[in-house]
Amino acid sequence: MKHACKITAVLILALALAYGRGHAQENARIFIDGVKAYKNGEYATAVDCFTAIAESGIRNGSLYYNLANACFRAGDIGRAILWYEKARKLMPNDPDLAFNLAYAKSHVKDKQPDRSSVLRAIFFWRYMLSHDTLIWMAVVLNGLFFTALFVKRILKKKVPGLLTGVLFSLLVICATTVGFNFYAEQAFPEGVILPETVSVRSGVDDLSTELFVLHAGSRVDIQKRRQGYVRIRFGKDKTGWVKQEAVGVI
Amino acid sequence: MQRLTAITTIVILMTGLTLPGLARSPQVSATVDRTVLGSGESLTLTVTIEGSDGNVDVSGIQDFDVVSRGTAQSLRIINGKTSREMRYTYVLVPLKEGALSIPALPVTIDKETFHTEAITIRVAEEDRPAMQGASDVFAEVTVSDPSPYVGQQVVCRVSLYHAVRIADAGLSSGPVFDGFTPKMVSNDRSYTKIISGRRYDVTELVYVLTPEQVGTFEVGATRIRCNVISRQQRNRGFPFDTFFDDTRLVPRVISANPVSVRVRPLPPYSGTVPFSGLVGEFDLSAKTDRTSVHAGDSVNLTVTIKGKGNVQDAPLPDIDLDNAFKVYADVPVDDTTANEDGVSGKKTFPVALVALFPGDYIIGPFSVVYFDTARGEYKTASTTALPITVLEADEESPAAVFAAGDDKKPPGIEKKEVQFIDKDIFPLKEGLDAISHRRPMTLWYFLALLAFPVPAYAVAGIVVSRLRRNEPVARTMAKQARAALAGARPGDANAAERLYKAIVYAIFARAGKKGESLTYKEARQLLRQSSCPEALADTAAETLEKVEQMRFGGGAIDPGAGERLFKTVKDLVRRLTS
Repeated sequence: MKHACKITAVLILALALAYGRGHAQENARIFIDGVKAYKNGEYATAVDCFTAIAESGIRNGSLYYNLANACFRAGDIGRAILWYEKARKLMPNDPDLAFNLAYAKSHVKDKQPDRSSVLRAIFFWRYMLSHDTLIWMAVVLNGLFFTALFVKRILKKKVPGLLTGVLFSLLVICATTVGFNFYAEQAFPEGVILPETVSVRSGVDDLSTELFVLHAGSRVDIQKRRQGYVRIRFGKDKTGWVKQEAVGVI
Repeated sequence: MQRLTAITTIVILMTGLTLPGLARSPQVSATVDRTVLGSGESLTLTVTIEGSDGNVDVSGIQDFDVVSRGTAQSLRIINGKTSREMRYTYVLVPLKEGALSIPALPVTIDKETFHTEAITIRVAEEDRPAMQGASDVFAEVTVSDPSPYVGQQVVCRVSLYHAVRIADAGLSSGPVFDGFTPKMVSNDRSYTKIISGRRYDVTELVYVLTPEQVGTFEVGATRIRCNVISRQQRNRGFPFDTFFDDTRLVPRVISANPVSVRVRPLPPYSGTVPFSGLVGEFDLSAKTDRTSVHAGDSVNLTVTIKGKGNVQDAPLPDIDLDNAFKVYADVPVDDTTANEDGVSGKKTFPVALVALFPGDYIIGPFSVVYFDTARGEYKTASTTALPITVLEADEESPAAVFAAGDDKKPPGIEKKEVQFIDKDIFPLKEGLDAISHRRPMTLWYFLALLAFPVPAYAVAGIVVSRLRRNEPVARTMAKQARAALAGARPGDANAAERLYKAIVYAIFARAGKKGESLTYKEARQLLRQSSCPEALADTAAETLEKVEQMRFGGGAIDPGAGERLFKTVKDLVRRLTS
């Protein structure tokens, strides 16, 4: 009985590995097709290929960047900026991405409200380092801090107090930032307007008063979801409802 | 139990279907569709791997141009036995005639290397004449002048003629332009031409060649690879057979024979103006932006050489203005284009002249000597003389002399902020790492990682404490002896106390016992009981006695004696604890 269970487990594992490998090869084929299509000027095909890979669950900044490039070339500014923004969360310091995003934003018709603030200047590291990088920094600093503590308290060896203090301070900063990032992702989601033009209304139906109009690529704060609509805020004072499919969540 | 057995059976069956190669050792083989072929024809090589998948290395095939035509996989189940077969197909185009070899190809399967059999192919010279109007596809090379001078431009055309449909045409090798500097005019140019009553589509590559040295050269040898599209109509008598025509691609390599070009030397030159190196037909002009200027101000002189030939190599003519002006030559502007008649255009030299002294001056004429290929002789092109009046210096704009590294700007140069000429997005990231998944970390996983060091710290503390508890007494005492010695400093008030402790702990360490104090008599007895050499036991007892005297004796200690005692104790502790 035990022997049979072991064999079954090994075989299931082997099948799962074989499936995973096949899946990766399929993605590689689609990716190469996408790159080829992009180079041949078939941007819609390139968008389909890169989207298929992204929808298969691959989370990768370079893939999102490529998808954004293909969307931009295909004339879909909204989705281009959405994918550039998604890519920026994973690789905030990529120079190509920064340039392309800035260039794509220059095509957005709405003047974006100024998002720079004192808080952004104070907590600059949150915008310089990706969420993943901050997480691993916190984990490594935590390990180093406890190692220093172990050497000092248990092994009774001398460890400079300054070192322990600096490690602890950095650990607190990183861990707090990571915690805030987790919270902000849930509490303050952001989105990008996808259609060329979208009417922002006072209520959750098409008969509600049209308050203002936004264009593809405008970045908005998402506040609420209700009956297939989301309440968005653009700038400090412009709030209203748009259909859920008109906003892509970053 | 029965259900489990059934599941196991199904899983084994599925695994058997998907991974049949695990059960059998693989076999590899290589086959070709023919072993004799004509020059320019191709053959198909198939490498078959039975029972597994692997990597075929075709880099060893030197006599052929290898084009991969993909892989095919087949799975067969006969009488309950499954077999898997991978077929790698390549099209091989011979690169020369004669007996050619396809060597034994290495096939790597699960880190083990197998080899196919070597195959010999005989390539005979093509019987069919590749004459104009007689062949479906042929190529030729032509030059505009088969006997140019050194430096004279020659237009070379490599033309591919085809009366049948072709696809994927590309250069396999060449064109070879040894002895010339080539410049491609256009990627390709297509037109239609009737030869011997037959209509050919012509694709042409045009190069402008500049001979670099005297001699006879073979120019333009080229091999062009393409696929000839042929149709095979099925003829099985069905009324809809015409709908099912098969289109087949037949790889071909077309050779264009080189043309012989004899490059002649330039005749000897004996003029006073130096030869500029220009070969072709040229004209020279010059102009200034003003005719009068204050001393210290600048005049912009523009010298332009235009014509047909190596204009881009033109040097700035010698500008001698008798020290009346300072001359600042700017970067020349090359505005030449290569077309089917050769390279032509102009090269402009902007020069800033700063007037130094008042007076009337003549700028120029300037001259360049070039070789006229049409007439076969050297000619001189000259500018007209340009009069200019230099007035007294304007008080508000004193004459300025500039030096390299000077902060002041040379005249005629306005520094501007670099601006974008145009904007576009950066290209794709093509590396396959773009499809590797970066798994996001959840909050709970992050918290678990953060919390992990806490129990690890506690466990490590317990382990260290246990280890310390179980440490042999001798080692503990030795450690304490060394610690006491390390804390002792000659001249300190408690130095004698530390030395005493160091010796006592060291004696206990040697005896393997625990304790805090000893008299010198007890020390000697303890050491002798623990089979310590008598000499060492006596030394330890004597030293301990001295330290006790120093400790309890009071009064000042001779510094020299104190130092010696420190050394003795140090040596003693080392010997007792080693």
